[in-house]
Amino acid sequence: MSVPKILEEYLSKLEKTLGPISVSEKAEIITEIKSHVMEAMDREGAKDAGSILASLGEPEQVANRYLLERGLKPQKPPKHPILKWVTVGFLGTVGLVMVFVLILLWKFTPIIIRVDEQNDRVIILGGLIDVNGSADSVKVGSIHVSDRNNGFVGSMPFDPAQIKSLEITFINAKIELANSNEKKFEWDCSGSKPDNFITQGKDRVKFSLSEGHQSKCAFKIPAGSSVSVGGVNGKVYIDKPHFALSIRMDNGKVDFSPDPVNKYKFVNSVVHGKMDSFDSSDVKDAINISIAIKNGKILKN
Amino acid sequence: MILDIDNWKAQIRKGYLDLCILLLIQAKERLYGFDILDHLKDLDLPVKEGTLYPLLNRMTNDGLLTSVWETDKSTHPRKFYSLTKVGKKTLQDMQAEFGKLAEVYKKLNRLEEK
Repeated sequence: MSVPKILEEYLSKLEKTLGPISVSEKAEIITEIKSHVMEAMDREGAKDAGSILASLGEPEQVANRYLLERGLKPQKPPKHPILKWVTVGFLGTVGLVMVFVLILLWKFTPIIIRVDEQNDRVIILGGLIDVNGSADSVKVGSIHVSDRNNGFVGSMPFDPAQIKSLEITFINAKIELANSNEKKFEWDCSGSKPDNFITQGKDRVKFSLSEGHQSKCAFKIPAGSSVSVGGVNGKVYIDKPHFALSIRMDNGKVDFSPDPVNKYKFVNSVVHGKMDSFDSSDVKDAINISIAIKNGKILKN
Repeated sequence: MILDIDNWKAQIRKGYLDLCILLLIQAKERLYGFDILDHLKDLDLPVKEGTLYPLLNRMTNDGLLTSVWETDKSTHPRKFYSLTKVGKKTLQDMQAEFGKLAEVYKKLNRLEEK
């Protein structure tokens, strides 16, 4: 006689709930219970395994009897199915409410992030990070970056046909991106000069303003280039670009001035803050512009 | 407070059941679980299977019973129980104790009748 599935399930449940009893003894118990059910089915052919198991009791109850007989602590009594679902439902609701509360706190607590429209400022964590548009400065903790500093200026030949990507990374900086009239990538930075700020691969150029070198940089980029900018705290100005651009920034502000002679395809997003709407075009030669900011804003000039 | 009769029954049955099961197995020499259930039912001392098997398991662990698996004459193996030496000795002690209790009970009953 084959072993019904319901019996297999019952036995495996029983085995699990037998807890601390040794494996060989568990096997012995399982075999005996199985033998009992098979015997009952043999004797009362009409009786199905389900009703025999029902008269045995829940596997947890049976397991607990075995444990109690040995002076072991019984497992928790099985919860009534309805009670179980009520508990699940209740905990789920509590969880959801807590998520909502957290979202509301996040949205409305000025300590975490405050976008001050009038004074052109983004203040994060109660002023720990302060991107101040009207004063042209980025402040992080006690470090302050403003326009007046010693700087470094340079350029390199740059043919967009050969160099597939220009990557600019920064932490705490103010960046301006404009067009270059020549096939040259140019930079004009204030602040101290980082070591190895520029690296060139076969078809890519990387310009990094690493941490500790808070700066302000103006870049000139040849038309047709593909530029990606990634940074943490900053302010980025883009002036009538003729190059594709992708910006990823955690905290700060992006000012974008479109060139009326160009068509752009925009993919912009701001998690906390605001953004202006731009005229996005789907024409084939539209220049791709993608700006994603976590905390801050995207403005159109 | 009214005595919870079911609780009292469960308590008094606990030790009594051990004795009855040992007596039954000794009388039949060897029995398997299902047979024990049947016999007890016939004796008007029905026991739930979920109670009997853990009890047999405990008495085996305590060394009162010994068991052997047998497959012949059946499509599935059966576990036959019989008394060990210790089991037989324990049963004698139990019978003596229970006999004493029964005597006391009888005496008290007679006292009441008078």
